[in-house]
Amino acid sequence: MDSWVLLVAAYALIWAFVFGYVIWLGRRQAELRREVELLRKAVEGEGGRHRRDQ
Amino acid sequence: MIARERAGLVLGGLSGLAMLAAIYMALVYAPTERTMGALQRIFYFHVPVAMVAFVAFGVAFVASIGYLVSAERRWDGLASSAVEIGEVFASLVLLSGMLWARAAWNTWWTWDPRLTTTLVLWLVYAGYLMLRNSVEDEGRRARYAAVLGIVGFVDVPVVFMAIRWWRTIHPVVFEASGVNLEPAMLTAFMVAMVAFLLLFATLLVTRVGVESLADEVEYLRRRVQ
Repeated sequence: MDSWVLLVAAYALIWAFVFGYVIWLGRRQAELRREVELLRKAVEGEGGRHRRDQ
Repeated sequence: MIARERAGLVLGGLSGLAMLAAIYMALVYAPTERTMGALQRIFYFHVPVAMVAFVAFGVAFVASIGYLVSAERRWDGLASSAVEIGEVFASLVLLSGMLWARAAWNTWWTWDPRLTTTLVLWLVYAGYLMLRNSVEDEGRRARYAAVLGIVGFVDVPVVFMAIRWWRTIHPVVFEASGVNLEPAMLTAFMVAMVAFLLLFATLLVTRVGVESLADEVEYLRRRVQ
């Protein structure tokens, strides 16, 4: 196999892996942020209801 | 914006710039090697990727000791983050090495001491990640993982020394007597090394941030229930 083909394949592989991991990490971060926001609102709602009940 | 996110952005920008410089140095600046030709240029990314995997497992080793000594959750988060990134880089070492081997040795894989010990390293840390997914109890999971994070690191110096301890067909670039590289090749290698270390730092800061977000979700879920 031509050495340039293998060289390009190696570089492409490295970048595909790194970008894939960065994208996965970014999505996970966004997902968790959304969940934190929702749960914070739920906790604040619970707190408000608890205060009203008292 | 919290300090960690700001640090991640600054490091990300720096590693992006360094990576562009590394690509230029590896593909344009560095001279073509006489025997292997263009294929030798895999070296400028293959070796730094391997070094970064070692650094990542080293961070996990230190953090695992930190966890066993203090039982603080942040050490466990740092160790698991470092292992995950280290495993990504270790996979890249194996794959880019296989592409190089196909052209240089006419085979994708051979049971050479360097290749075998690297595969063992990859398997040990794959086991680490599987262990974390299989233990439910948080404390036990962190303890078991910390022990494996310490024991697994034993293979890192073995991988590094494999080409010095045993007969091998793997090229030896860094020897006790010096570095077997042209000055321009060494410069290209050093630039790539800095770029990959910056990339590792960026990924680690981001991954640790994800870990603390996951902890926050867990804490808030308990409060809601």
